[in-house]
Amino acid sequence: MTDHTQLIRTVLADHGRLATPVDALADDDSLYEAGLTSHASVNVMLALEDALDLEFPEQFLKRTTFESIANLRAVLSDVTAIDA
Amino acid sequence: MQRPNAAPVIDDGDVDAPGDGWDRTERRTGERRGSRRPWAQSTIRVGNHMASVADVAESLDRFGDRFVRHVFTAAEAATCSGPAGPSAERLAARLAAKEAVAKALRLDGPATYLDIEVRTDPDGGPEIALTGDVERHAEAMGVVDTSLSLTHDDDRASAVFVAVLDTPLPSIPLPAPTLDPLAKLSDLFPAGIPVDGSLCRPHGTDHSPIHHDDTQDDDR
Repeated sequence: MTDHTQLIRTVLADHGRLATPVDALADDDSLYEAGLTSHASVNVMLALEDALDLEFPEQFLKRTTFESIANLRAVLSDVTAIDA
Repeated sequence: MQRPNAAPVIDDGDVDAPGDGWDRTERRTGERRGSRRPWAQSTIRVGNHMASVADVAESLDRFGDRFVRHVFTAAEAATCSGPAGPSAERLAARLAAKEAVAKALRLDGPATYLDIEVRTDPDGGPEIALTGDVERHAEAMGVVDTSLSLTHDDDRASAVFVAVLDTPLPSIPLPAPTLDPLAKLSDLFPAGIPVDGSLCRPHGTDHSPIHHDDTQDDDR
């Protein structure tokens, strides 16, 4: 199973508009506390879709998905498994 | 919908109130629908949000129609499109409105965007239409009326959303009954009615203080 952690960090750095640098965040740190907005989370989702050539199912478009890098990684594993 | 320059309307649920106690549908149709819930009281929830026009423009540049479809309804996209394409300012105002609604109603993330639509009311002002899960959530909260205000300039768009909720009146605990109102007085006072702080026998009988000796009473 592919580990998407580095991709997630790159996308967050490019589209997350975080107040805290991504490199300073642990995988379990709250992205919302780091400054992630709902608008930015849509951009992050679309950028991940572009990078992985997939589409997020509706059920994953919720606040908890974007709560942390670890949550995004877990959801991407599920989405790529569905998409495979 | 709040009319421009009108005094703030807080519906107290009282049909006979002299003020504007009408709900949104009633004000739109000009007809009373019947009594409100007299057992409820009104509270308000307020949400506000400021969105960056530049951020929306950047999302449009980067993701184009995919961004629009994930955030805005088809009607909103059509309203905000012109000959030069989507208006970042107008879309930013609608994004601000959705975030303001999400804050006021404590909604969960971007999945709710498409269940919140900014429309134009018959007077030309903005209003919010809720659908799907957000509509059900609002109904469960007791939302009976909403009001929306939008503004934007070249850089920022802002929205203020107010929801009026009918919430149940707090229950008032009643004291536990100390006497059964249906009980016969003779059951409550088998030995007589209390008078002047002491227990006496019924009228016409011995007025001496009652004796609590059941045996003696039975022998009488």
